[in-house]
Amino acid sequence: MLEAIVAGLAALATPQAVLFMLVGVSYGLVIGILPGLGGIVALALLLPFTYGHELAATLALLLGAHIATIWGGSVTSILFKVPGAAKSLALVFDGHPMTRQGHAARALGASATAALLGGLMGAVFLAFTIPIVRPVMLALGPSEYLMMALWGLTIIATFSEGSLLKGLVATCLGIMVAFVGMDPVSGTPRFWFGNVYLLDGISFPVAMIGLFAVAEMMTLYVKGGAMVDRVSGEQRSTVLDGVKDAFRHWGLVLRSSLLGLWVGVLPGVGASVGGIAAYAQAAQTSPTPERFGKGAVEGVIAPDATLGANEGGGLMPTLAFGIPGGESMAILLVAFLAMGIVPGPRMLTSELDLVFSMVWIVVIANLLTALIGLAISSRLARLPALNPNVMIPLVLSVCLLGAFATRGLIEDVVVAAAFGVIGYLMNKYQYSRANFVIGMVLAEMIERNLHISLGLYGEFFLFTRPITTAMLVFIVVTTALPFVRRYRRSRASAAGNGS
Amino acid sequence: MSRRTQENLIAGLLVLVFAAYLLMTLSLGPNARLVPVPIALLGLGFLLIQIVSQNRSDGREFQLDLFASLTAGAVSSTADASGEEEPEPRDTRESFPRELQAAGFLAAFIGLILLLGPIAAVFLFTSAFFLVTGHFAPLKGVTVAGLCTLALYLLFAVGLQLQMYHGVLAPLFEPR
Repeated sequence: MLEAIVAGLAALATPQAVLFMLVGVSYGLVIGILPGLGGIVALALLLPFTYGHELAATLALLLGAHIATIWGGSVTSILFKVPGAAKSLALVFDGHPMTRQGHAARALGASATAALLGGLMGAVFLAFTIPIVRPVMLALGPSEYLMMALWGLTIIATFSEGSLLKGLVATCLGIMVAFVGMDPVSGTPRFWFGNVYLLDGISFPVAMIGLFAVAEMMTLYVKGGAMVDRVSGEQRSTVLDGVKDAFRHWGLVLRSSLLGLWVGVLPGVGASVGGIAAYAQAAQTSPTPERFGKGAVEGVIAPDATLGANEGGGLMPTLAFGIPGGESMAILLVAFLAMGIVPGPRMLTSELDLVFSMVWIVVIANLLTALIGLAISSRLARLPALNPNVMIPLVLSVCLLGAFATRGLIEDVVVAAAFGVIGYLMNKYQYSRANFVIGMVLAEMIERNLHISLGLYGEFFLFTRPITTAMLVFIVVTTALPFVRRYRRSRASAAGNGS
Repeated sequence: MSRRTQENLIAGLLVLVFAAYLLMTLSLGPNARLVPVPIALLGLGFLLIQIVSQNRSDGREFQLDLFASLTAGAVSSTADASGEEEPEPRDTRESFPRELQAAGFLAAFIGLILLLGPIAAVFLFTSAFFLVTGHFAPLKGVTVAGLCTLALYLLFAVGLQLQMYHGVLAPLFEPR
């Protein structure tokens, strides 16, 4: 194994591999910062450039770009409340309040460091846990994945801006929008109004650009004034403070990384659920949970560590079983096949040096991303203080071009604008946009796994599969707990007032 | 228009959306409507409870947020879990014209994109925005808009090799 570790690193010590790594990471950062263009777009655009080069160099280009997009997405969440991708959504909750309070540089520093630490842990676990995780993965079926999606839904259902009911309505709306287009099981066209464009469904990045970026620009125009009140010169903390924060909360980083790795290992679950779950566990385990949602640095560290580790986890099923851990991994799988890499158990035996090359790429790309990120954070932190008269047309232009770039369809620009108006109204009347987006993300996973579970295990699969039943009980308990606590609190306060 | 009336209007609109969605599922096969029907019914149910709740005489809403639930009440139940600031009471009469303007800007931008394609539209829209808001002097505004457009062109059309849309007016400018 030691030989494979050394051979994996040696394969990356060529000028072409080093150059490709640098190009990949820089490119990934730029793509990640552009709203709507996440890792999927970054990888898809790189595919034509993957032929005829050294294998390790090509992998460095692809994986380096993919890893750098993660932090790029976090940047826009923290600075502009515009998630670069669905997985960066949780960064909005505390990252943007930090920006508003003049701690943008600190938030970016903490974000980059947490992503680095998470990424390193993900790489280490990828290297050493494949034999352990394999039986666990194989024990889970579609019914368990269905339960995981439902758990994700119940967790985010409580992310309501004020009214829980409005949050639930927003979640249902998001799921309904995701059903536009072809039914994934029977291929029946649904809610398409005879429009061929709608047969492909509403593009998720396009809807998100509208709901968050366009709606934010509308809000900024209506409200007037800059996005943040404090000017750049009045930053209250530095990037270094953020770096120290990430190391100070090492326990949180470790927990979040393990969570990210686990979510990455599960095929099809996706990092968006991981980011939200990481945020929830950070709030649950914090001694001062009252700071969450108001600019707690832990709310930035936890999701970023999870997202960083998620990539290492996502590579595991992709390499070992040929089952992509998510959409980006699916594109990576296509690239692997084009390069002659055939995923499967053989990867863990005769191709082990290639696996370790990927582990090293994850490590080096994370380091490079963090170094570049930390170097540019203080400059990036000044952006939200830009005058809205400059920011609005520029951000709108980038966002609408980004919407067009996702699929090259002009209709997507119109849809992004329509979602912008919907997002503005949702924000104004407090129907949670976060719930809407997560509903959209999880809808297909719920529908697909429900159909497969019914087909495989019958109508009573919830009670015939022990792990599924246990997960169902867990979901019911975790959903009911807030209500029980609330009831107890109100009774306690009523008793206190009475005495 | 009072806030409550506005809330009721939005909720009423959503009821129509959910009802229409349910009606449309009737034409689908059993597999295709297996999940959409319960989701629409659930949404409709939540919405009806919300309407009743927001029109209760005591004005109390059924509220619960993530932080209250996670922190065992350490945080106020109105704290915003999504990181968005607490809703500020807005003066509807004051904000409505600004909202119309914002929607107008957006519609104009989309119109320009459809007519002329994204790149030309970006230049015209940013130039016009700078001129209307008076943030830059006219010449400087046009220069800044031009530079931004060039940067976006280089990024999307050259760097990402995106096949650009040239707008419905493009045939008028094509050589015969």
